[in-house]
Amino acid sequence: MIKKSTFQRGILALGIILLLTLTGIFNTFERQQVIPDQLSLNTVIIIAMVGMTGYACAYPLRNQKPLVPMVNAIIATLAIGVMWVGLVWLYETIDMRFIFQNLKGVNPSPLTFGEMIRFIAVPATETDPALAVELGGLVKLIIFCAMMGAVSGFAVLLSLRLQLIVAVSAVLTVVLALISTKINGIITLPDALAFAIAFSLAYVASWLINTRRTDPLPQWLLMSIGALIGAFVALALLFIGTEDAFKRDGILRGLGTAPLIIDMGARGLIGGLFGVFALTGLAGALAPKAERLSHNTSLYFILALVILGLLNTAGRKLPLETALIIFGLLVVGIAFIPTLGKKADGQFIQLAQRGKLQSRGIFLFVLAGVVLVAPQFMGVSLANNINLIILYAMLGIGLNVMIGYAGLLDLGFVASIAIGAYTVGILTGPNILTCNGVAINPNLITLDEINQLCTGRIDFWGALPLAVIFSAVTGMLLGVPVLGLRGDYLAIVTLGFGEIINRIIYSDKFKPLMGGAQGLSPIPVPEIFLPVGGEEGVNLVFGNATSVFYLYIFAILIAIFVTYRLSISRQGRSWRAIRADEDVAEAMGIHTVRTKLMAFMVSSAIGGLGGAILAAQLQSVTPENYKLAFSINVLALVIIGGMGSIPGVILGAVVLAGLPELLRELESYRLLAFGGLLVLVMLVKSEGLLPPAPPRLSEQARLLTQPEPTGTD
Amino acid sequence: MGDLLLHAMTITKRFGGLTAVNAVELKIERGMIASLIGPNGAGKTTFFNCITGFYTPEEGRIMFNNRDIRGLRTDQIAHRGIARTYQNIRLFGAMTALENILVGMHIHLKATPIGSIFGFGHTRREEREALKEAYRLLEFVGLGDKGDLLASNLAYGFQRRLEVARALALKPQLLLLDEPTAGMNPQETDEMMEFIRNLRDKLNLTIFLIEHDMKLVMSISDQVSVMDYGTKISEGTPAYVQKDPAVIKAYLGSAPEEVLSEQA
Repeated sequence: MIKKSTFQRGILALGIILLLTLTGIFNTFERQQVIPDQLSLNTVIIIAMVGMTGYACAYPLRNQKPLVPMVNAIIATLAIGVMWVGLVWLYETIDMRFIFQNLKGVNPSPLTFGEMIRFIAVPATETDPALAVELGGLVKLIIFCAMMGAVSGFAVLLSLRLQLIVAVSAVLTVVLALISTKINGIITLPDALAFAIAFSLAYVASWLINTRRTDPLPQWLLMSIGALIGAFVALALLFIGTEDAFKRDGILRGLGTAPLIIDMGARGLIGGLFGVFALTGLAGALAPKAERLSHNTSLYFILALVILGLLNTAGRKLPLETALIIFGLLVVGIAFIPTLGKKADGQFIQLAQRGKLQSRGIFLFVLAGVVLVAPQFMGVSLANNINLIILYAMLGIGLNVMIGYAGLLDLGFVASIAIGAYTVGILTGPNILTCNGVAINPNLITLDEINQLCTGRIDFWGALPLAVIFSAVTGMLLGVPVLGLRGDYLAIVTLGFGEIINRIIYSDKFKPLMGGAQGLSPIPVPEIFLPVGGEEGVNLVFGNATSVFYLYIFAILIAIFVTYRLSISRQGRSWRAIRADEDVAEAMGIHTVRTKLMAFMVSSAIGGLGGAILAAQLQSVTPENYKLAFSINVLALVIIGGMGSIPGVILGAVVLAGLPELLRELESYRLLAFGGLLVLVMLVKSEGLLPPAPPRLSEQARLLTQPEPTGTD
Repeated sequence: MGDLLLHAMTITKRFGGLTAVNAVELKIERGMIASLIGPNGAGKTTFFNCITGFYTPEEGRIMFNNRDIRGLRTDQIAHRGIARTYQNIRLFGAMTALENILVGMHIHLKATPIGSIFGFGHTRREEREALKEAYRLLEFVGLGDKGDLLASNLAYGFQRRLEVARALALKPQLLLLDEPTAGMNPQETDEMMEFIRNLRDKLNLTIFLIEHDMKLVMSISDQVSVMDYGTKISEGTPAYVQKDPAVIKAYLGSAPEEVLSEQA
């Protein structure tokens, strides 16, 4: 009944916890508060680790009698607890610092679960870490472990769907809690509620109308009804959403501050206020008829709005009750929205083809709206993080062409990024080329002097295409000598290329052109001049994180579009055929040289595009930024996300570039987490988080062959 | 008989000191089903590899449609109209059955990367036509309902058929089959035999196959060539080859009746 593996897993888990403790990582996590004064990230991680151990022991036994998984889980977690206590005792008795040098600076409280004990029962008076080693705390530690075992043992008995919903909601809540300090919003809870009400009223009305009728109402009528409902909500908001209502004795007290959207009305944009709500109502009215994807997306959008409102009302610190409300909302949302979508599918889709196109339109409309508005919600630091994620995602999509499609392991991807960045740097920054032959020392020259002297500079928009082209051509040229190489050999050679490019941009020989170790700066900020709105026109300046965001979005859309279209075409098939079996691909008549060079070219072009925008964002280029580690980071996210899958690569970027940014405190342990995650993903899911889905062409092919009277049978 | 499609003239291929194929002379006429048999290690697959350009023979010429194809790259030879299957099935495992066939149609498609990115009208039309044809081929080999399965997930017999379909997608003049019935039971072997005969009759293909199943070889071949230790030791109609003492010696070195009864 009790498996040997149960003990093994318990010991393994303790080993990992101990190892992490020795690195001091828990000390930094302790400072990262999920819920202020109640729950630190440290605690969350320990709860998760103990819980997961119990789960891992219980899961394989889930088909046996209910008691068996439970007992095994409890025994595993108890083993952790007991051994942990033993270790704490050992630590207190024998000074182990002479063995573990790193323990010197380590605060023992994480090892003794100081934080955890406080969380479980005892009032927060135990601020002295020394007290945490008291007997009571240790007993509680053991009890806690046993409880986690019982919970995880019970969890495996629940339906898989339920487990998933709860787990995803919990993770999302923690993530939202962590970013809540970063949200610098323009939306309050009443705003969000007003939108949600407008949307749901229109949704319910449209749903009711549709179910009562056999022949569907005309689209325009439905849309008008929705818009009307939205307008009514706006009107209501104008009347009751005043400052007074939110005061201590107002009817809406407790909901936080007055809705910000009212300001729109106050500023004379009454039409805008009504318009926004009418659009929301319109979307709500169309949603029940939309295909599943659009339908669910719109519902998730409303959910996200409410959560944003909640977070903003909670202010910079997320209180426990708000966290619980968010958790609940997420559970409900994740559990029920897909079901609603199924209903929508079954009941309302009459005009399948037209309806689908229409709802895809709505979907893209909503998505575009979110993307356009998103930066307004972000603070600079969040925008910076998101920009980094998009940059990495985009570079990953580029590298994915090489690794995921063509199967060419490229460790020198940083070369194309650097070439893109330096092309922009050289063409738009001060150097011997642009400054009429004068060697520039950036330390001794002012901006005015640069402007006077360096007349050869072109603007960013001229340099961008050149950067992409130059990067693509160099990428192809670098590909020529290595075409005959496969696998490991190719990896080593490309590694060399990355290093060569880095050496070149570092070198003193090219210093007048590329600035040597100092690099080139300043690189002018990209601007777009729009000749609208009066005599002066509008000048769009991409000078800060929230505006560079749009550049990145633009670039990643291009990257996705190009690589996606190629991947489903003849070219993409050739790539994948070469990856699968080069000899056979050649026997099928595929020109392997040309096909591989194409991969080098496309991949480098995207790398160059990313590098060019990065240079413009940083307003400088320095060789420090373009080192091997950059290649490895991009490579890792492609592998973790799933080679050959664009959504996978994006997820990989979110996980690998986003997570460490989210846990700012983690910074110094970034590589540790990075390595750990890589190992874990490769062990558990060697094909990546979101491996590519094989294209479903059969249905289309069948439809194509059917109308033919001479079709084979 | 008809005109000469393939003429291998005294082909020699050496690996270091080993002469895998030694001055082999072989003619295949259009519309024929020709077989190449011989004990393991006789150099049959090496000979195939020479024809398809995977190896370049040191000596001799390979005339295909009266043009020398020796020294051409594999993909160029595919363009000339030679397609093959492999002894140990080599499908593109991570691609679906339909995609495998679409790869096989590569040389007949004209889509350029630029055309695919921007979705030009003719590119899209071509892609639709290709998909249609690929599906027909899939139905032809009896895999119509398995188009979206990954090739690696198909059952063994289906993989064999898919490999043939992929080779057919090249619309070759000459189809090389390397042990098409390897690993099949007698019933499957019979089906495959019927299938190969169909290919010749319905698609007017010329077929050249390596095979160990003597029953199959003797019943469908127009011409049988026998190799041993890299040299061709016999050639002719099935009836002739069966009685050739050199062949019997190569296989067993004993009485002909025993050999034949055992192989059947």
